[in-house]
Amino acid sequence: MYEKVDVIVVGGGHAGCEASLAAAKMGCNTLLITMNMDSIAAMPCNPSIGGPGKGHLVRELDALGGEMGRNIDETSIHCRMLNTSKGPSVQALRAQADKKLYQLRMKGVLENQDNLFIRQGEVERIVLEGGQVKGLELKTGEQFTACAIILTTGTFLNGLTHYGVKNFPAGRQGEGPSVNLSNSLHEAGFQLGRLKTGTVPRVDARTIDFTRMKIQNPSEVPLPFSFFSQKKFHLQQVPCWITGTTPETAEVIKRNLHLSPMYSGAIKGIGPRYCPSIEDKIKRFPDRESHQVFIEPEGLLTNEIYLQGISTSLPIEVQKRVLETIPGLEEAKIMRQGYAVEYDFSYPSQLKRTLETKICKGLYFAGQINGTSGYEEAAAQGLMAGINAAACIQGMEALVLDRSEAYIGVMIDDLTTKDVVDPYRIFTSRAEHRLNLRFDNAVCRLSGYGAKYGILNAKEAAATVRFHENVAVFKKKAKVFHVKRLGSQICEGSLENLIKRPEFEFFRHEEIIQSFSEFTKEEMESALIEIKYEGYIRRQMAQIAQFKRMESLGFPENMNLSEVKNLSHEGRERLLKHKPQTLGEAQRIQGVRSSDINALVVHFFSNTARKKPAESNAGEIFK
Amino acid sequence: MLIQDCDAMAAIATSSGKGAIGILRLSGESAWSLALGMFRKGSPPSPFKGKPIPRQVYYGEFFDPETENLVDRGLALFFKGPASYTGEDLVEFHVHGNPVLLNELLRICIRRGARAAEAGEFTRKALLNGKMNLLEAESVGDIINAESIEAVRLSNITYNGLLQSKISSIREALLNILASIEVEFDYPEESLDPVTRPHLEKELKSLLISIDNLMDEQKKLKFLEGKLKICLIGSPNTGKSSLLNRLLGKERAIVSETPGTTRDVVDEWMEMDGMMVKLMDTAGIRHSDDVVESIGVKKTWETLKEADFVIHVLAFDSKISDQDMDVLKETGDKPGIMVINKSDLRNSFDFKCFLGDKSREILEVSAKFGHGMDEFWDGLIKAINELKEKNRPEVFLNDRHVLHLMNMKLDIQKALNSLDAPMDLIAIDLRAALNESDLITGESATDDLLDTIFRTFCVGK
Repeated sequence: MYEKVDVIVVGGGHAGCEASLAAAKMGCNTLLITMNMDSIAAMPCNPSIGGPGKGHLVRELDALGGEMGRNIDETSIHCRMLNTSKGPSVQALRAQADKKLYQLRMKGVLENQDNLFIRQGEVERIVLEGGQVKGLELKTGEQFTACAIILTTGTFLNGLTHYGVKNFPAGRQGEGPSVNLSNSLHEAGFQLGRLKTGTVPRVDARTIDFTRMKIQNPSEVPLPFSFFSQKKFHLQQVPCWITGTTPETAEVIKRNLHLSPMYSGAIKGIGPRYCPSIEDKIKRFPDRESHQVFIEPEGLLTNEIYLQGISTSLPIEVQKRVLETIPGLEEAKIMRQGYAVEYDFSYPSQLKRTLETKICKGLYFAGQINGTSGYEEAAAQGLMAGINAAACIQGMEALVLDRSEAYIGVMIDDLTTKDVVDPYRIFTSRAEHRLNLRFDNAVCRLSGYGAKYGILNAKEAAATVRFHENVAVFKKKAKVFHVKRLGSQICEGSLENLIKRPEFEFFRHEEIIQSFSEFTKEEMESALIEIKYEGYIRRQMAQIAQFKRMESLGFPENMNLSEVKNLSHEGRERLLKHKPQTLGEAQRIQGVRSSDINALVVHFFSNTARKKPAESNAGEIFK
Repeated sequence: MLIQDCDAMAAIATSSGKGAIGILRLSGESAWSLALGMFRKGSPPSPFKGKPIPRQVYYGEFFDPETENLVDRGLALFFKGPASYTGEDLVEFHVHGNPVLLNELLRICIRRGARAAEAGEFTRKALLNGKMNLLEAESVGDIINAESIEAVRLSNITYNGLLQSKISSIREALLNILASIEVEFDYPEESLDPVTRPHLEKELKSLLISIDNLMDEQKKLKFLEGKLKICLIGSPNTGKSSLLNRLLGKERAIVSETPGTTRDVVDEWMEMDGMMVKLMDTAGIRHSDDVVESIGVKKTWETLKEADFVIHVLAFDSKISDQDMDVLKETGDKPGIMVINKSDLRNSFDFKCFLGDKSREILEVSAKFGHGMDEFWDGLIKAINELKEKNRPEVFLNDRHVLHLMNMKLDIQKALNSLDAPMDLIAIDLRAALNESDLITGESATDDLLDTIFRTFCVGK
């Protein structure tokens, strides 16, 4: 007899950790299979979590009950709030992690989670039967059956690492690839593509001249990602530094470009535009004299330093010469060299918005297998896949977040409606309703779901409800709270009106704060934003209402596109490929033109339009 | 008898030239009652008893309810909403295709409370009432324009390509501004040159000018569609009203020897070389202690502002006054001609000299005796055709385009009004503006924004 479980999660990276925790918390008998127990929650690239967009994802994940936020809070060695002067919606937290401690803590959390068991092993084959997942088989021949399988294979599918002109099959530095699993997916009918990503050289801290660099000090107050974390430093806080490339760096790189697998043609996969290698930067922006290099410690107990900004796959000799041209790194000794990795991914248009594959029931994909990049992106998908796999097994309705309620929704919608051509990363720019998707209100937006699916326990859920309520109570109180004087100034009016003044700084006025001692600082901050930017928020809400209208217009089940007149050829193909469920989704599919949407409206909605002109007609829809 | 709160709109549906049949349409809740007040069915004609039957054709008389005068005989069709073109109650008058006559009917409707529909408004109503989709609505516009304006039809393809490129360049500029703002949100530590508020202000203002320039193209459409306004202006008693009557071929304005007879602006639509123009006679310009007359003079100056073409009238028997100098100063830059009336009293005064550095064709007529009228007529048509040629719009903007451009302007203006707000809020307005441009071109803002960011800035760790 095979061992039988509810959910199997393949891969112990950031997606796999969240997926398995979520499924187990929802009561599913869950098995996590990883190729290497010591690589659970590894950070093979930069040692940091968060930043604009990414930090928002972590906060949302946390509000839903995910682990990443709590994990980084306990293992962070440097954190800062970014974009503080640029407005309420783009403020974001970023933290440097002690890489090893991050892994160890997460491993401990997984190991102690009820319903969750971990096994080391390499998955060779997914067993499918009539469009339904049945189980999987390990390289050793061991077999498991499961109701749902979540694949979170990272860069391991057919992984190929490049070091200058040399290349080796590997999932990442020092770990083997997963070749047969990739073939198994291909045979099952999945369309696979190839992407590339790269890392930077790590150098020995003792060989860096920090005096020639600009120091970046960490925040003096603890800034947790998680709503549930204690507000304290768990570890010693250390600084980072900044230096930059010189014109000599550019010279060295230009002279050796032919040795880069990126330019020699050895790499076929497409690299991320937003995280270009230093070769790319020099080539594409030749006029720029200097590119920044961020010096980031990888942990408290190691001398390894991550050189953020100079990701490269040039040969080791060239990497050494490059460092010689960078102030402070002239003498730096490389401990691990930079390299590039190519890997297979599955085009995410093959996914439903639940992250279940369209062609195989019970099979879910999360993380880099979907063409994304980044720990946070992976973790958020992992959580959603875990929730939806468990929900499906338990007969609960699926959790699909839309673009107006979460960055997670933006990301998954992008993945399922747009073509991935290079590794996908979240940006605040990707969100249309950014002002609603703030760091401070993530709990209000999403913790209801976390509670509903049982990812948050009762105590946690109650805390989030209290926060939500208190924000509302503060807003009400500010409306009726009358201020007579501000310091020495006579000042008549409600506190609400005062807060709306651009120059007013609430936290400077002890005499007012005294009357609001029942609120936490976070509650007050969130309420202050909502009062101060009420006009903008109201406009954003109106836009959201309009967006929801489009989303609510679902296509009939038996949509027969061949009956639709005036569809463009490309539009028809794209619609057939993506099978959108709503008109809003159809509209966002790449290659679908507005004339195609018109044709769809005429065909599917014209009858209702004639009966109920006010509710659904072309004029309204296309506003 | 004015119908209060009449919510009907009216427009001539057929093109502006002469034809066998002309159609006027009325749409809105009061369309039927308005129509029934100016139409008697049958022969001999009698008022309707009860309501007309929808979609039945009635023959009868159209009359002016104020004067009871017959305007024309023809057909009336009644449509009951939503089974009509616009989705509202709708009436069609089919009469003889004489623009003067159709305008008379339109004027009666408007006098009785209807609103003159804007170009394309019937179709927009249809769109809003779910009678057709955007695509169909736009193609209606295309069909209409293809039939009525040969020039547009011939150059439709070029027009559209050019429009696309003009809107694209505005969109591109906005995208660049937004990208330079947003890149700093997503790459906070990349030592880029941050966008300063004064720089942003400058960029946005120049964007507004580009949009205005594009929107001006639509104003030029009136030269194609024949909605030109021609203003007769000059000192009192130079014979402006006589000239108007001559041009119209009827005694429309009161003519007397007394200077300052015309007090109010007298206007009249007329056909000129196949195009409808609105001829406006104004009170003679002079200082007057008479309250009514000075109001008239004020109105003259206002009318001048909206005029597209000026007929500056002088007379051989009047001396050139300071007011004439003023008129020349005010109108010198507008297209127009100068007419010296009362050629029967010709003297040797050199009017060319009076023109100074302004260039203007001078024609001599006698409105009273009809001398030189043919030359005047030819000169007028020639000048107007030249004007038309000069103002041929580069692109064809329809109402939808203009609507989105207007919204774009509003959004950009909002951003300009709150430049001291945090950048992410300014970005909200600019994104809204970008979305408006996308509604014209059908592109996707978010994708292009990221493309622009990566193309323009070297970012990424």
